[in-house]
Amino acid sequence: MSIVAEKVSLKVDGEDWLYPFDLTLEPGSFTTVIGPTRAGKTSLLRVLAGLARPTTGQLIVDGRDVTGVNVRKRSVGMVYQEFVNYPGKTVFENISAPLRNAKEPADAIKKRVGEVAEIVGISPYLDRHPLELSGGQQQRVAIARTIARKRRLVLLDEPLVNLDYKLREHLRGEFRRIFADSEVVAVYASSEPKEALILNGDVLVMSEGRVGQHGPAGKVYAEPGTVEVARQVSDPPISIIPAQLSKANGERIWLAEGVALGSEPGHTAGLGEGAYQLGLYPHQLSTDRSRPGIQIEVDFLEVSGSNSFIYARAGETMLAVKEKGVHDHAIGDAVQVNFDLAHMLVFDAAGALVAAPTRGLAHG
Amino acid sequence: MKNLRHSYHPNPQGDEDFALKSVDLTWQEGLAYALLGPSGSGKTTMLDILSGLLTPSEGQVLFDGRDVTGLDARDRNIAQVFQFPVIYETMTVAQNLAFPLKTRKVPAARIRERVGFIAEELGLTALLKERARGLTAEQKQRISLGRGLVREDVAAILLDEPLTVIDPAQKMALRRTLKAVQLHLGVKLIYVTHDQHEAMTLADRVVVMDEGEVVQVGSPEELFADPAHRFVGYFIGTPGMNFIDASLDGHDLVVGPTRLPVNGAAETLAGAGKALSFGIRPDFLSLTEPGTGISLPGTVTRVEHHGDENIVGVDVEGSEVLARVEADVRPRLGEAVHLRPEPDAIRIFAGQRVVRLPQSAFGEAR
Repeated sequence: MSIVAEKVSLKVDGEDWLYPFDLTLEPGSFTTVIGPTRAGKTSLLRVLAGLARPTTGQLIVDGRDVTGVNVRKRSVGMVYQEFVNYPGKTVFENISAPLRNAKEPADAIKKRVGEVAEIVGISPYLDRHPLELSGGQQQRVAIARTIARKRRLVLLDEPLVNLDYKLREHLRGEFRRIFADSEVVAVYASSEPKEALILNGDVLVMSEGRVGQHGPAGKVYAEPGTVEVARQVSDPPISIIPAQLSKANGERIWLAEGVALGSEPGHTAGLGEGAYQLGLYPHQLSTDRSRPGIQIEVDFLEVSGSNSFIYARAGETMLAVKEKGVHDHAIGDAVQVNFDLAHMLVFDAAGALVAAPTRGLAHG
Repeated sequence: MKNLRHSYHPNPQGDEDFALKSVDLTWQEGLAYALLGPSGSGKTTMLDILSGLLTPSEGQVLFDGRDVTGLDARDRNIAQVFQFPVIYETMTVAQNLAFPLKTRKVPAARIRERVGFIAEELGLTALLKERARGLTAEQKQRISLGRGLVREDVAAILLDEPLTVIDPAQKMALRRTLKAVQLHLGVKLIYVTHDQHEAMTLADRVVVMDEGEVVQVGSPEELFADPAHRFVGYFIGTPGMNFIDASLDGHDLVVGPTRLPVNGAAETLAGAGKALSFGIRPDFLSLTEPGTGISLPGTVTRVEHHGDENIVGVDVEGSEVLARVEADVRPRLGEAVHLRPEPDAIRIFAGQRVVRLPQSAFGEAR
């Protein structure tokens, strides 16, 4: 089933919650919607589900206009942040509820509940009540109920946000498996940009009610169309460095605040000399002392998972530098940072992408 | 904390009735601590005992040698910051900060001085005259913290998941402020959190708890490099440490299909008395050709792309082992591969506890 939104918008009490957008979601696709709080992620999900009627535009499912058709009459499942289960019913009864409502035969129900319980890893708990389970298990029950009936569209609104760190890590790894090999359209809202990469489907970038870049997550990460999109897909943040492409002694070099960063890499050869903004993801900045770099002071250190991220101010620019492993750098310590120009993104002064190392390869 | 045990049962029988099984711990001056563990690990019980909300079933709490076990919260000079900001909404920021000093009859001139100083540290100076009601959750949480910091008699500030209600975009700024305040004022901060990111970023020492026990106290680097307990290996790091069952055969450790010669440490391992396991972090495994030193053969079960790196899952005789590799290393699903562990990064566990071995135990000729 494909879902197509044409010129869809949503206004609530005269306020724009979603500006007009076009969107096509293919069968079997898994789309992660990212954006800060209030970007419009939940509004988008509600419009797609039929829980909110678009102010303008049409929603077309498999060629049929379903704009305004109630969610109950459509094949839609939703998973929310809160674990929504029936507390008085067993896990089996919880998962089978939508199948019973659809008047499916008892043996088919039993078989399907067994299948989905296996997929989400709660087979041993079918006779328990949800409140006897951990938070992670409760959320698995909610997911199992949502996928028990073959849905055409499954919407997941930050389903991991209320779970412990390690459980999030584990369930995140399972989502793709849960939806693999199905024709369902899955849309997953997240405020953690790195989830889009890990889930490895498509990403849709939203901000302030606007639907932005949409495409395979790896490609959007490699070629964000604007500085704003680059900032949104990168967590910890991408460093955006104002720089000049200049000619000196017949050689073209990149300069930032008068400091030479290095000679120009192949992928910027097509650019004219002038002012640009360079985009370097945290792993493209390093503290490798064997290469030339600039000296800066540590502003802050964050340890995330198995990596350390050094934040350091260079003039007006905040740099975020990745170091593998867990290291200690106190505020104020000096570090040498160098730049992997061969892999940097280049944006023009207005913020549009003008060079990326993958571009030549991807587009021929 | 001396020989602390706590049970919520009126007549506790075995260890399983204790929320806190046995804790001996010294909190040093001037350091930031994090009490890290999953829900149900006993960290809230520890926090309540520290703050005086709860009297432990057994053991003592000593502040600089003074027994405070029976004292309640207000007599302990402990300030607390909770998940939700606790402030007076109708007062200005300055009045909120001054309040704890006023109730303690601190002279007005000294109050002004302290409030000005703490406001500066917390980035609240420009907001001093504003009413608290209209401020963001992040600003209100700074005020909550300021109400603790402003007191000069505070022995420690306990922060219980203080960033929970803060917008993700503002969390980093608040974390930075917390770190800077600790550095400048040398106050003892104790965070309670289930989030390893928060614990590892904010604390000098992390107290890792699991099932009512303190399983390790260490700096973030120590917890990553040298987990003393399997739980620490698993809980710290993303993904956590891999474990494979192992057994000793003469002077070799047998790990799945691989034999590792143990240089002079076989006796130590033989004497450990509990089931052995081989531990290696995904960060210290690489894909290699067979025949180049120690390697674990297996088949690729998954490849996750994380932008600049990939997580590769490999089935080694029934255990899934994860390796963190560069983005350009992309084996096919089902492909037969060999994993090479960095010898220095191999850790051996007996039961749940690490076995201390000489660094060269698995050293190859070099």
